[in-house]
Amino acid sequence: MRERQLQLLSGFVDGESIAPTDLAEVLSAEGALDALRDFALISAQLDDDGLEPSETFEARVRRRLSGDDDTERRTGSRTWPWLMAAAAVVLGVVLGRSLNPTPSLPASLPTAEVGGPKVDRTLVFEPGVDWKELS
Amino acid sequence: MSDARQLFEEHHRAVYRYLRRRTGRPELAEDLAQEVFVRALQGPPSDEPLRRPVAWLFRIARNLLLNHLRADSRRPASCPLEDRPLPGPEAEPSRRLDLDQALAALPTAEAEAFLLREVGGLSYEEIASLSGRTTDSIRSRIYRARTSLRAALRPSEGTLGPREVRA
Repeated sequence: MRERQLQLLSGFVDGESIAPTDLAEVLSAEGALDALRDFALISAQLDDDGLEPSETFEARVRRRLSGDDDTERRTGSRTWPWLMAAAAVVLGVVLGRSLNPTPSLPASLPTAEVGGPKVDRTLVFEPGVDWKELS
Repeated sequence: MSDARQLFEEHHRAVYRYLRRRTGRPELAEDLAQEVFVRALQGPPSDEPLRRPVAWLFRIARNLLLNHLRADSRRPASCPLEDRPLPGPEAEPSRRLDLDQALAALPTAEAEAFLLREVGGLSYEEIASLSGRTTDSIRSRIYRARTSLRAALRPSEGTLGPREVRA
């Protein structure tokens, strides 16, 4: 049996549409029925592999999908007060700003106590004359 | 019953089995499967009605799985033994062990296409769309997976394996 024929047979098992003449040729090839039977047995073996999810999983997901999840509710009840507190703080700040929109400064601001360095010489520039240093 | 709940009832076994086969870890497969349906609860990304919701579910499942595998690969190399994909305890009969081993021996891309087809029931076009490949490429991958499994599972019967076919 050729590779192309076997590939057509594999597609046939999967419900691919095959031209009747091609199908007749493939099924007439030697070993075609063995291959067809083996492909079907592999599918059957896979179907019957006994891999099932646990009942705990099924119950858990059903609860979750119907919005009746205890974990969700507990998490929600823990989160809710924090959200309320945060919202209250934000509301307070916004209200405060709206009542007093211009930021006010204190009447007297502290002045800098440290002055600049003492002047001990002065540089004077006169156009057309070199720099002179006056002490 | 909500849409997500209905999707869960109809498809959770297939989604779980796909994830279970791909991860080899029952608990992880359940966690990922739960996440699939929690995301489904939020609805599809666009308002357009889904032609085949099951294809969308498997797209979510595949994306979650890839994200998990990426995160897992960034872990230190000395990952504990129990983190490795292993056949579950339910795979005790030798027939199932054979199937597990044969599937595990497939190249990832082939196993993925094959499982999406066999377990998920997705069409070649749907698998091509969600994995970003052409339909021909998916057809070829599924065929190769099938012939490899056939050769691995029925070696004593002398039926044609991939090597004999190509000769």
